[in-house]
Formats: sequence, C-alpha cells, structure tokens
Amino acid sequence: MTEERPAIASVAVCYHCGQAIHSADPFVFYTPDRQAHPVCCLGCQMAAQAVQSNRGSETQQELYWQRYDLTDVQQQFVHSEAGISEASISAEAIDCAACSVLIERELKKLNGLLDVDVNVTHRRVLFRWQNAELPFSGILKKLASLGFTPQPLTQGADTALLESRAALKRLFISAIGMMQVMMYAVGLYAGMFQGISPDFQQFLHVVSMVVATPVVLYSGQPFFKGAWRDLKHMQPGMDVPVALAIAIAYTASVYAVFSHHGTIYFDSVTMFIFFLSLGRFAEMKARHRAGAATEAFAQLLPTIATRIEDGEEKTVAAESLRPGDIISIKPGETIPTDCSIISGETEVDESLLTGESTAIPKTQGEALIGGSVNRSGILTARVEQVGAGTVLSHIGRLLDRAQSERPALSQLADRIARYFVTAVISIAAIVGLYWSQAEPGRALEIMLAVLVVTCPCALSLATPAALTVAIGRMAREGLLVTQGHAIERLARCSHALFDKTGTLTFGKPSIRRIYPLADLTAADCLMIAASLEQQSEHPVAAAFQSTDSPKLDVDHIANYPGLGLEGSLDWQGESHRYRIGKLEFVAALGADCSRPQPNGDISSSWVALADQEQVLAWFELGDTGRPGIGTMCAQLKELGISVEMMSGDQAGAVDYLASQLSIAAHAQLSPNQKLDNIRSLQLSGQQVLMVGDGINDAPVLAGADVSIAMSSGTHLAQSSADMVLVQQNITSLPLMVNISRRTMNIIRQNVAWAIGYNLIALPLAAMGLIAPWLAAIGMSGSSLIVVLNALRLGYKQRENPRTEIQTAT
Amino acid sequence: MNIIYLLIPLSIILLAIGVWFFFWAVNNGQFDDLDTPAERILLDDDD
Repeated sequence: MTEERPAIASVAVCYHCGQAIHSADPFVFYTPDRQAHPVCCLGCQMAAQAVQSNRGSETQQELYWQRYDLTDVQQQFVHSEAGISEASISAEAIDCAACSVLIERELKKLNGLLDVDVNVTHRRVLFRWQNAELPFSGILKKLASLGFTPQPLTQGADTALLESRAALKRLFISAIGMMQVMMYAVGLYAGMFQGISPDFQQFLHVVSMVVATPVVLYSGQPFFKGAWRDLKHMQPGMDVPVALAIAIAYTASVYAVFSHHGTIYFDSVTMFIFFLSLGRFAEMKARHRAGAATEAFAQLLPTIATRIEDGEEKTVAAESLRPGDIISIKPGETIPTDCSIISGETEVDESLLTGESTAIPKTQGEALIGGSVNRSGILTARVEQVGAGTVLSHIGRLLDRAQSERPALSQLADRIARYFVTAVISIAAIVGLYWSQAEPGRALEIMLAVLVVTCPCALSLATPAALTVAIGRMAREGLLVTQGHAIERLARCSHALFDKTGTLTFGKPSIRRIYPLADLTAADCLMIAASLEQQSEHPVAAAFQSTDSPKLDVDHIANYPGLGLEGSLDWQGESHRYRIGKLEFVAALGADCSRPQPNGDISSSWVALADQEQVLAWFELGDTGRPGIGTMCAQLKELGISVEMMSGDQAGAVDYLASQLSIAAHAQLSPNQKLDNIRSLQLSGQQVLMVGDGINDAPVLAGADVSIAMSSGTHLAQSSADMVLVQQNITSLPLMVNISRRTMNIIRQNVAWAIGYNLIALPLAAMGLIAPWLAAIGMSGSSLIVVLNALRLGYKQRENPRTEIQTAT
Repeated sequence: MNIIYLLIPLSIILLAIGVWFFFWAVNNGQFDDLDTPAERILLDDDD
C-alpha cells in the first residue's frame, strides 16, 4: 500500500532518520557550524542532539562495544544455533512505540539481521542475526548511536515471563472448561424441570466430568500445591479451604457419575476455579508491572569488567569476578562490583544510592560501591564483594523481604479460614452422623450439601477480588501498587508528609522568565546562555540545558566557581566574549551595572548575561511547584488527613511554598530528622503517609506506614516505597485515598456477605432443606456476587466524577 | 436427538485442537507483549 508521492526534487528529508518530511514547518536541528537541518519530529531532534553531544567519546565507545565480541563475554548473553544468534537487551531509553519503530527500521538496515522485536512495556529488544555477517557489537553500536544505550541481558530464565505464560495457559483451560460445563449444565437444569431421559442425563454427566477433569487437575494445581504447602507447615491458609472445596465437590461429582445417582457440581467447581485463577492472574500482572522498577534496579551493575591477569588487561564478564581479583576502571565506566582502590584517584558519582550527582572524591584505600560511576581518574582496584555480597544486592534483598510480608488483611482471612474449615468439617460430620440414624438414604447427600453450600469460596474471594480491581484501577490512574498492604494502609492514613523538591515541585530549576535588556530578543539571549552553560555541571546550568534552545559552539570556556562562566562565541559573524552569572561578575567585562534586577518571586534566583558592552538579559530561575498542589492539599484536608511538608531545603523557599499551600512545614531537615518526625507521629497514634522522590529518602519511605515515590526519583527510592506515581500526577492523591477507602468498604461488604450467607445456608443444609442443585447455585452465586461487588471499584462513581472526592462512600 | 451423542464428543475434539493451538501460541511468545504492536499501527506512515 504505497502512497504515490509527487516526484519533487525539493522534498526535505529528516537529517536524523532519513524519512521524508511532510510538514511545512518542520523541527530544526543545528549542527555546531550553525547550519540548520530539518528533522521530522521532536524525537529525531532530540536523538540528533544526543548523538552530537556523544560524538566526542565515539572512539572510546567503539572500543567498549567491541568487547562484547569476545567469546567468553558473549556466551553470557547470546544464544547461537546453526550460525544464527539470538540475544535480548534492555534499554531504559525506550519510551514509546515511536522508539520501537525507529529501532526496528534502523536495525533492519544492518546486513545479516534477521529479526528485531521491540517490547515497549518491558523496554526490551530481541534480535536474531547471522553471526557470520554481523558481529554482536555491530548491533550494540547501532543501538547506542540511535540514543538507546543497550544493556545486554543474561540468558537466565526470565521468571516473570514463564510465570505469566503458565498462568495464562491455566486460565485459558479453566475458562474454556467452565463455559463448556455450564452449557451442559443448562441442559441438565432444564431437564430437572422438564424431564430428561436417564440415559441422556448420564451422558451429560459423563461429558461434564470429561471436560471438568483437566480444569481441576491442571488449572487447579496452584491451589492444591498451596494447600499442601500450608498443611506441611501446619499453617492452614486460604488455599486449604479452597483446595478442600474443589476436591470434595469434584470427588462427590465423580462418585455421582459412576454410581449413576446423585447430583454433579462440575459447573460450580469450574466456575470457582476460573474466578480464583482470574483474580490471581490479574494480581500477578500488576506485580510484574511493578516489578519492572526493581528489575531496572538490578541492572545498575555493568555486565563486563576489565580484570588484570599477570599484568595484562583482560575483558571478562562481570559475573566471573571473584574477591581478590584486581580490576582496572577507566573514566566514565560504571564500577562493576564492590571494591577498594589500590592505586589512582578519582571522583565518583553515587547517585544510584543518594540521588546526588555531585562527585565524591575517592583515593587509595577507599571503598567503591558497585554501580557507582567513575568520573575522572583511572583506577586499579581490588574486588572485595561480588554478587550477593554487594551493597546493591543487600539492599535489594531487604526490599524483597519487606515485599513478601503478607498484608494484615490476608493474615486475618487466613485465621478466619482456619477456624472456618475446622468448624465446617465438624458440623458436616455431626450432620452426617445424625442423618445416618434418622434417614440413612439421604445421609451422604445431606452431608455433601452442607460441605458444598458452605464452601468458603466467597470468603476466599472477598479480599483478593477487591484488591485486584482496586490495584488495576489505580494503575490506570497512574499509581502502581507494589505492596499488598498499601491500599489498606492508605485508607487508614491520618497524616500526610510531603517532600518538597522533586515531589511538590518539579525538582529542577527552570527558567521562570527572561528579561532582555538590550536589543537582542529573549530567544537569542537564551541561545547564548544555553551555549555557555552546555557543559557545566552546576545545578543552574541544568535549567538552560533542558530548554529546547539550540546551542552553539563556544570557545575558551572558563568557569569561575561561585561567580559564573565566561566564553567566546560567534554571533552574527563576529566573535564576542560573554559572561553569565552574578551581576558583579558579568559586569566586570565592561558593562554598566546600574540597572537593578527586576522584581519577581522571592524564592527565585537570578542570573545575568552580559557581553563586553552591556548587560544583555536577566534570567529568573526557580523551582516551580507542580500545578494543582494547592487544591490537592485542600482535598486531603477534607478527607480528614493532616498535611505537612518536610524538606532538606533552605527555610526561605520552603516557607514560601508552605504558605501558598496553607500547610505546616519543616525546613533543613536531614533524612534522620525526617525519620524522627515520622516516628514521633506514629507514637502519637497517627498513620503516616510519606510522599517523596526518594533522593536521600529511602529509609524515610520505608519507615512510614505507607509511602509513595515519584517515578522521577531514584530506582532505590521506588523500590523502598509501597507505591509509585508513574506519571508524577501527585494531584491524584486524594482520588487514590478515596479509592482505597472504598476498597476497604467493599472488602468489609464481601466478608459480611460471605459470613452471613454461610450462617443462613448452613442450618438450612443441615436440616436437609437444601436440594443439591440449590447448593450448587449457592456456591457459584456467592462467588459471583463477591466478584461483581468488587468490580464496582473499577468504575468512576456515577455522581459527577469531578467531585468524586467529596462523595467518599 | 440422538445426534447429540456424536456432536458433543465432536465439539470436545474441536476444543482440544483449539487448546493445542493456544498452547502453541503462548509458548511461541505471542501473548508476551500486547501493547507495543497495538501502538505501532498508529505510527507507520509508509505503505
């Protein structure tokens, strides 16, 4: 389906990706010689920018990727068979489907590449290629040049994927089985009222059994295995009554088939298994999506390292390092594992732990953390810890342990289940005994009815169904729940503490306003300023680097710490000297500095730009608060939650923001002080919610009753928190609290229904008043009601969604 | 009505074939990523 394109010679082609540009007003990319090149989209513009800024280190990168061609290194990542190799990489930079299109199109141009498959959700790419024609490094280089730094994935089993596939298969079987058996059941029920020939009835019974058996044996496995595990440890959990109910109903039905007498319950059994499998499947999917955060965390360690053997440098897989090995680390490389410096001096970037990218000086004898980035020096180091012993791994394990703690609700349900199961079995036994005396013919039937009708299906579905739907709803609204107890605790929270920078604000200084003073436009002043600031590491520079302004080449950049930058660049054909920074500093070039700085926000900081003749512009910088936080604080207060701000920042900016939001605030707090704050609140009986982006806040997030991290924070923070805001939509917090409160209500309703239903049905069944078909309907119906009730959580409340917050149930 | 003695077993056989195909699809990774292909359709401008 090719479009006819007019053969015009002047059709513009994107400078980065080569596609034809159809827009009349395309994006533009400037090369350092001030030439403008049209590009087709923002993605290509930014990618071209990234490529250009990387060009300097290109040869170094070439050598880096070539190390992946060595056989022992490659073995870890590449699977080869008959000349065709297969490997997966992960790349954090894959953001959207546009990236996948770009990657697939560009990679297909490589000779020898057979197949490319990009998975955007998990940020992975799978390739298949002919290794005679194309080296592994060629693929990695190409990906890197497009702006997607690849991280080769080891071939180890991808447990999440396998778990997901097995669960899907089980779910499918139970769904198909349920549908078929129910259709046969329709015939049987009709027969009960209209009459049915015994042969025919027996036929339908047999067929139901044939279809239901795989469902029970295959899809029912997790429940049986779970129950067996519970019993082995003498800890009856919810799996026990479930497995018991399935086993009893199934066995009784099979018995009925072979003895040509009695009712079958295959429809109820398959339905029950299906609903439970559905709930667990949804739970697993949510868990996997959340687990992506912790997975990314695990990929912080590099996969290859340089070991010094007999005085020679050898590239090896990082996994093969052992304590005592001597390794060499070049500038720019990530430190492969915990080690101590033998020789060399450098600065390292430990932002993976602290979130601060300020360089920390390290010298001989000092310890380095695996995963931090070596900045400036060449080092020789001795490996101290590998694999499970590293700091990173240790933290990961702590978090894993926290995550496997079962929520209080489940534990309560387990306790109920234990008593319940014992109670039901004893009652069934008593009933059976009684009826075997009173009316022996019906004894077995009645006993079965008692067991089936009081099946704890509803009880076991009560909590999981509601939690699953709630987690799904929250995920759609942008909040990923990674801990089971999070929803329960969020519903009960009475006190909310917010971090300031990065949470209530965007966390980056941004340019609030430009005040041009001379004849240059604001955009031109911005271009000059951005060009001067492009290589600077100063926080203020980030504000300029993040603008879309094109940047020019600058000569003779000089940094005056505490004052500003100076550089020369070509402006309209002539070379000028410019300075940016404090007023006195920039004015020293010769400008007249009598004009005062403009009035603006009291929380803003000011930067001036001048050339040799005059002050060209003022830039007002500030960390802007996210829109809507004022309303959010008000809404939280309406929900009965006290709101406070805790920040490590200076009092001025903190108090300013706090007064705008009408909340209390504490400034200049260290992480320990923040933790103390939380503890004292907890001691006075408050349930504390902590919201932060985790820079320096991981222990604080872990210490609160429930915590939420912004996805713009460090990976460590996201793993320490109970929930992650993936769209940084902090204003949706009141909605989330509302949803979690409704969830708790629904759970209470479900449990009440389950218990109430059982209390009514049990006596009726014991008295022999419940016909078997009624028991079957009761069993299925009670599960259905619980599930449908839980589904109510998935929809926005009918009465005016916008005021949903005010109509808390 | 006796034909149903043939039809129902036949339908079960068809089901089994369907299940076999489904299992093949799952093992072949067809269901691993349902989001990317859906978005991809929105982007391809050529052919």
